[in-house]
Amino acid sequence: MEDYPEELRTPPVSLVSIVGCPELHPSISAALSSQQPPMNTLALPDFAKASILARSGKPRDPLAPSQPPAGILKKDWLLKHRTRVPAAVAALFRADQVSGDPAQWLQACSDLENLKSAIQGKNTKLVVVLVQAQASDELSEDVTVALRKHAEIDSKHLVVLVEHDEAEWNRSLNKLKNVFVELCAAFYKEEGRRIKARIEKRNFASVELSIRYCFKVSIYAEFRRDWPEALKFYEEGVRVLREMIGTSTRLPPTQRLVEIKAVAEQFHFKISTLLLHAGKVVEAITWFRKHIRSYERVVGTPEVAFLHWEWFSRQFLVFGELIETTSTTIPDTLSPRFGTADNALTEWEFQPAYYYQLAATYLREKRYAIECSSSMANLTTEVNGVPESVMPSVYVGQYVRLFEQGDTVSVLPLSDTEYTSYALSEAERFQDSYEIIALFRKAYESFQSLGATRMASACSGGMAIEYYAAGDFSNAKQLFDSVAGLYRQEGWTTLLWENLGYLRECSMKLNSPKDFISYSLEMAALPLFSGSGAENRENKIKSGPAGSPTISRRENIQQEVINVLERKQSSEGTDDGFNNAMEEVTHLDIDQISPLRMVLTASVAFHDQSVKPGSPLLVSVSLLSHLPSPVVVDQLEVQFNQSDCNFVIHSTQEDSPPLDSNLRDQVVQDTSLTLFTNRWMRLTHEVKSGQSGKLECLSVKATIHKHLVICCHAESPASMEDFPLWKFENQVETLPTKDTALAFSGQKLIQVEEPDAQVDLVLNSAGPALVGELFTVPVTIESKGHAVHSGELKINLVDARGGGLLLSPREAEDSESHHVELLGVSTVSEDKESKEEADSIRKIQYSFGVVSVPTLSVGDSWSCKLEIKWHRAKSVMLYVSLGYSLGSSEEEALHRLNIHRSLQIEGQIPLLVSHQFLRPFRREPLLLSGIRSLGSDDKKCSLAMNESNMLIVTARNCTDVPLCLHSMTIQPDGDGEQLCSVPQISGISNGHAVVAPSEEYKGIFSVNPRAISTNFNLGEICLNWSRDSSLGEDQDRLIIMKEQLPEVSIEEPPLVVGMECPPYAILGIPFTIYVKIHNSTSLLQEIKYSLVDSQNFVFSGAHNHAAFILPKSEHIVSHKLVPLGSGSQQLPKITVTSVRYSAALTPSASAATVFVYPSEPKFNLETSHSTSDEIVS
Amino acid sequence: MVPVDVKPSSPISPHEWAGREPSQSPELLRGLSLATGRRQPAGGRFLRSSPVTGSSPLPGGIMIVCVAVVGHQNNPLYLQSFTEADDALKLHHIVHCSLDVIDERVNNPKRSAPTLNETFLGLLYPTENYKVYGYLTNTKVKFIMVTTDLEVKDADARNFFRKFHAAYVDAVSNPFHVPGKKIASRSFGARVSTIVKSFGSGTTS
Repeated sequence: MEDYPEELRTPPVSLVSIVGCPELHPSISAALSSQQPPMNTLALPDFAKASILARSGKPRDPLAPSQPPAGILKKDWLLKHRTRVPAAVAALFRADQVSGDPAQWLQACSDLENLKSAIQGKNTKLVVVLVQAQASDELSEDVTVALRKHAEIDSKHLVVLVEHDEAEWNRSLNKLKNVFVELCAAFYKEEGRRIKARIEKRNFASVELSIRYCFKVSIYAEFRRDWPEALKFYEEGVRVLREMIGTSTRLPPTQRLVEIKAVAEQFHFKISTLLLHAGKVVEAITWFRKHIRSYERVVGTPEVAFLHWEWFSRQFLVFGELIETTSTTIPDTLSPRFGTADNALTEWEFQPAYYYQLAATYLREKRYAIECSSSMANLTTEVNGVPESVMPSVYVGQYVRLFEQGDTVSVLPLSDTEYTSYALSEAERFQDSYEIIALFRKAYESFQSLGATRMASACSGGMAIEYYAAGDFSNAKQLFDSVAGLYRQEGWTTLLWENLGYLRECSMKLNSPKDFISYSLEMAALPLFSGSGAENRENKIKSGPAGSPTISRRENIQQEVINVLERKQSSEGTDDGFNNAMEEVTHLDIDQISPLRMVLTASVAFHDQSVKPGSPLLVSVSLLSHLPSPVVVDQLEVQFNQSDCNFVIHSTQEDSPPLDSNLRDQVVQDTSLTLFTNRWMRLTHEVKSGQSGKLECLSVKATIHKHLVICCHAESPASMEDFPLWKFENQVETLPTKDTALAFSGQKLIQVEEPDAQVDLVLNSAGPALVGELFTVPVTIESKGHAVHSGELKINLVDARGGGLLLSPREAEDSESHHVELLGVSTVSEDKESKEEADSIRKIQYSFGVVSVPTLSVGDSWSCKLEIKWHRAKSVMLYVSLGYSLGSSEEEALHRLNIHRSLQIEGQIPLLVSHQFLRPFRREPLLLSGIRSLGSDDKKCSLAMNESNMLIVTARNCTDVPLCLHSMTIQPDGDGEQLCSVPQISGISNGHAVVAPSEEYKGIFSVNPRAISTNFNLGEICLNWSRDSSLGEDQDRLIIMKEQLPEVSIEEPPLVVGMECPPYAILGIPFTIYVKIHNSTSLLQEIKYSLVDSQNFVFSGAHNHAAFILPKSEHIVSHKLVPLGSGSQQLPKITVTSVRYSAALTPSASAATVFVYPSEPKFNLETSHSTSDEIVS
Repeated sequence: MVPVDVKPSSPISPHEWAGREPSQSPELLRGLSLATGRRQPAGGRFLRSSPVTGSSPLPGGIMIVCVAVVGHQNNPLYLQSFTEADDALKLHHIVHCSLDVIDERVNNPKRSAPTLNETFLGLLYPTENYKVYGYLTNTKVKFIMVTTDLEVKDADARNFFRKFHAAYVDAVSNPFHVPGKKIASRSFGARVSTIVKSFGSGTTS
């Protein structure tokens, strides 16, 4: 846009001229140009200069036939009208010049006359300005009239300026301004109308004039700021101009086209500017489209095609710049449905970047066209030569040759051939590449900021191609690389192919064989787009240096790589550039995201998931290549993280001697290592696992043609990704291994297990543990081949039923609440040193312990005992693990072996203690609470005061082992001793009693309460037991087990019924039973009693009777009975009923039983005692 | 190269030019413009096959030069050009760049509101001497059509895409077709060629 002349780029401004009184000119010009709209002033200091206003051209002979115009637009016409043809001329006279001296008056008159003659024949208006010093200086009426008449002007065009009074000066200046504005409008309107009339009457001889008139009318309209009219005539001009292409014969075709386009460009620029400045973006873009469509095919002959493309590119550039400078936005009124019938425009057409990009594209076309033309022209211009002294003519878009002959300089027209060679030589002087790059860069940045990455990439690619064409290969390579990334990502292989082709050439030019090889290999491995065209066209410009993407081309490229590697003279002489840079061996590194993954992929799978150290294991190495031709691999080196496992496979076809012998790797010969396209080469090899830990395959290095080493990162088949570009291809998908399971789950790493520990860890346990006892578990460590160094024993107790900790959750804080507790570890060894050592690390917590084990040499053993105490019956898992290292050196210490043992130990309750209260034999105290609390749930046992109640405690052995019961006592609670005596009636006789499994032991106590209490605490049962030591085990520790007795209530019975009966009876011999009822109250008690008949006895006395018992006295009822049967006989049932308490008392069945001998027994006294004992127990 | 049958300097009478869009009769310009072989996109075939009448707009004036199917990852699934000129590469570029416009149209929430169920995306952008039209299926597969730079009726474009969509659906319904892979079916290619040839012939059925 900057190339356009200034007058074209800015809107035209009215021009007026002032003549005379030069001292006033600056202030008048300033006042006029500050006006809105501004006005330019052509200031002439004196009237002698007025001649420049006169028409410069020669007067035309009105009778001569009008010459056809030599061009469409004159180049300086617009400039002339903006700078030299004023719309109005003001003649300035000082008042004293015209009023006083007649000589001065005459001078003024002649000046005026000259001025009038200068503007004669034009419509330029004349204004006369009289300059007065003061407003008070009156001019005589006749002077002004005379002046007016002389100048032939209206009175209003005579303006008086007052110089020395500021207010008056401004006022008069304003008046002058208004006169000028009015006259300018009139002038331009008149001029415009004059020309318009010619158009309307079609009063012109040629099309050229028609266009010229249109242009003029528009310019005059612009002077008047009549934009719609200007637009209308510009458009009309463009229309006529477009039609002229086929019709005009004035110039030779090439030059004609150049002229038309140059004019069209000016018209178009004017139209676009007008539309955009009026905010009519949509119209401007639509107009631009039309403009472009009108001219895009008008290329001209191939020799001058470059002129067309230059012009065409400029159209886009200028329009883009216009859009950018007017900072257009998409109008809100526009339908958002771009590109449809609602809104034919598209988003990008509002973006300058779009135009820049196309400008760059067309400028590139120009470059290609120049290249074509130059090559053609070289043949022809040899003869003719480039014409000299060619210059632009006075007409827009025309060129002429200056011809000097002596002193006369004449202008000669050019022939098309001359013009073509001139234009070509001019065009060749310019380097378009940098302009193209700048345009692409502008577009790139803009598209990038718009988020149009693909478009930006295309611009980047354009830049790169230009850099490439300009020979700046490092910049080109950088740009191509950035673009290739996007194409790789989105799988546009054809575009990638072009890019890589350039990259390949760049790296060759940059003397970088490694890049050359890697780009070539990537190209060779690219999947082809099936729809791509035939190969027959060898157009390197269109498809880049790579040629068309075809299979044969891919194969060629692969072969070129091989040629480079083998340093053969390739067809294109490729390795000339690499002579110095070629390294001995080229290394390529391919990881999982490398684009070269298509070239070679290595998948490594171990056949197992874990292995013992030192044992052989199978590993499958599979290689896949997408290169079109078979690849012969000389040598394959598989590398692991444990370098001992590395191995090398050689192809036997390779007749080179094997590698140096000091290489530790395993070397294998394989018959043939040839990779065919898209077919896995599967190799299975046996390696020996190394150290324990992770064994991972890192990489597979393939040596190809001796000088190319491709290092592939190993991939696990299980986690192998698709090939980025090949995944869209329709091809047979093959698996890296034959074993499908391995293909889907195989891993490139394997776990090498630890070596087997050769140390025994023995846990012994003597059956179940008993609650309360200190249970010991002996642990023995026995070395059977490994010396134990810095051994460590870890002990852990875990609830066997799960849940981990041996705590009840509520009481987790309380240390007492551990159900099972590890109390200690006692080492058996008496050695002091080792004990100290053991003490150094010994941490024992409730369920966890760590004990260090002294150093053991092979064959030694060490043992300790774990002391565990159960507080509750619980099943517990005991985990013991021994960690040790084989030696004391640092290296060995790092490598630790572990042995784990576990043991489930049941915790059992040893003795189940129960108790039972019994009343005194044949004494039945009436306990009122028993009657009253019938309804309540109070199960509290009631005891009668001052009676000897019986307490039987039963201890039952619940375990599988016999237990020794050492003592069984009742320990009274606090002051209970005074209130109640609990003497033991029977107990353990000789030290201890052995209770066999599931047997019971009973102890009998007599309870004699001496005070009334509803909640009396009898104390607790205290059992002293141990395991039966008679079985040989040396567990003689006494364990005390306590159990709380329930609370009892003690009350005083109001009545006590006792029954006296002989210990035995003899058949047929009468005996007497007495029922003694003792009233311990201070009330008279009425009782009733009854006796039920029994078939074994006859008795005397009443069946029913009643009696009154005095307070604190005893009533005795006696019956005489004769037993009728022998054996244990039930006495007749006696029921005593207390009327006051409505309670019946019946002696228990056992109390009402007597043994009847058939005859008088004969036994000695001692034995009779023991029998009585037995009966009691 | 096109034979020159009109002398470069011979004028054509003005009345023949009047009222006709210049671009509609490119053969008349041939004498003057003589475009290079590369610069004829719709190119050679069009000029050669059409009779040099110039009096009426040619029925085959608009030509599809390229159709493409672009997958979910913006990868090309099918791309076929129908020009004899060697600008397959350029068409690849054009189709690829048009994905930017599709992205913009589809992701612009303000604009997509009234066109939520509209599959036809319209003219994506005019470039050089082509126009690019887009279509987005409900499975987000993109169809792109590149035509020569002449006025294309919306209805024609929609109609083309509808037929093309049907052909595409048939092609991917093939049980041997793996979704997401390139479409290699020959019958699809033949069908597309037929659709392309019938484009703009006025049969909108």
